[in-house]
This record gives sequence, C-alpha cells and structure tokens, in this order.
Amino acid sequence: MQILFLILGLVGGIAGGMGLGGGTILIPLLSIFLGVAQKEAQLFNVFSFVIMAVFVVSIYIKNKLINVFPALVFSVFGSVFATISALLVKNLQNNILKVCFGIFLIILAVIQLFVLIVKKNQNN
Amino acid sequence: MGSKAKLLLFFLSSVLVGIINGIFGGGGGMLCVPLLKMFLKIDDKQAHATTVFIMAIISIPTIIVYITTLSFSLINAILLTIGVLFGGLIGSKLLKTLNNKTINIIFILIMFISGIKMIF
Repeated sequence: MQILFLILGLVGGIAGGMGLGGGTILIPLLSIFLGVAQKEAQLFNVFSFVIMAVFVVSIYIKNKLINVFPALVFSVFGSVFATISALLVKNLQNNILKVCFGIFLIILAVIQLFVLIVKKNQNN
Repeated sequence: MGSKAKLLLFFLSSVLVGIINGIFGGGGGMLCVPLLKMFLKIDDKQAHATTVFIMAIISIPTIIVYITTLSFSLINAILLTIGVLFGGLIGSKLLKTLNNKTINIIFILIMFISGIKMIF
C-alpha cells in the first residue's frame, strides 16, 4: 500500500517535471486511487513540491532565469494571502473542499485549452 | 488599458495566486505562468522559472498552516516526496515534449475528467 505513494509520486513528479503542473494531477490521483482525504492530499502535494523546488530553483538562479520584480511582488503578497486562505479553509469539510477542487480543475482545464488555442493562433 | 490599472491587476494577480495556493495547495502555478507572460514581456522559460520560485515561497506558510491544523501520515508524505523527486528528474528529461500539442491536450482531458470525478 505504501509503495503506491512512491509510484503516484513518480507519476506526479514526471508530470511536474515536464512543466504540466504536477499538483493538478497528483491531488486527484491521491484522492481517487488512494482515497486520501482532500486536505491531506493537498498537504502532500505542496510539501513534495517545495522539496523538489529547492533543487530546481537553485539551477534557475544559477542560470539567471528568475525575474526579480515579479518574484518579489508575488512572493510577498502571495505569502500573505496564502496564509490567510489556508487558515480560512482550516475548518472547511474535506468533501466540500474536494468538490471545490474538482470545479477548480475544470476551470483550469478550460483556461489551459484557451491558452493552447491562443498559442496556436499566434503560430499561424 | 492605463498603466495604473495594469499595475493594480498585477498586484491582484499575486493575491489570487496566493489565495489559490492557500485554499488548494496546488494549481497556482498554472495561473501564475500565463499571468506573468501577460503582464511582462518574458519568455516561457523565465515565466516558468519565476513561477516555480514564487510557488515555492508562498507554499511555505501554506505548509505550516496545514501541518499545524490537520492530521497526516508523515511516512506517506516522505514516500510521495521521494517519488516526486525521481519523477521530476525523469520529467525534466522529457521536457522537449512540453510544447507537444498532443501531450497538452491529453493533460487537459485528464484534468477535466479528474475534476468531474472529484465533484461526483
């Protein structure tokens, strides 16, 4: 059973490594296949992401790929509101959060499709 | 659009990304990358790199709040993380397929189906 977490991590990591946004399939994988509670799945996702990000970001910094101004603005404001939001969902029920996440996934899918279409039109 | 309005939207975007991360613990990056490309004239690589950095920073308070407010299995978290690390290594080697339209469409479908499954 526990090896399944290793395997799902591998799958999610591959997706994330390809730049597809690993968290957006990792959380559904954990929830659907392993029955992990929504908040726990979210914690697992964000935790594993940060650990991996430590390695990846060091390379990005070396290659000077990080834009300082947006990095600063988004990090500061993002952190403040991430804190507030995380505290707000503290008491939200897992099954409600799960449904919300499902809706969020569908919205993301639509946005991604839109981005893809825009890209395709730009190339023509 | 006036530059003041654009600046305001820029800051509001950072707020949105933070909120998404706090509520869902993920998915913020998928909004952050196109937002950065929209507001700044930077290429895919920079937008992606800057986003990963931002997500890593704002995820820290999220993790702290989550860890202190819910019960979880540390062993499973570690096993998952090990998998993610190796997966990320493999995935980055496959990065060339990133611009492959087919892969992107498959991923969009996976997200869509997963979303439906999680709602019902």
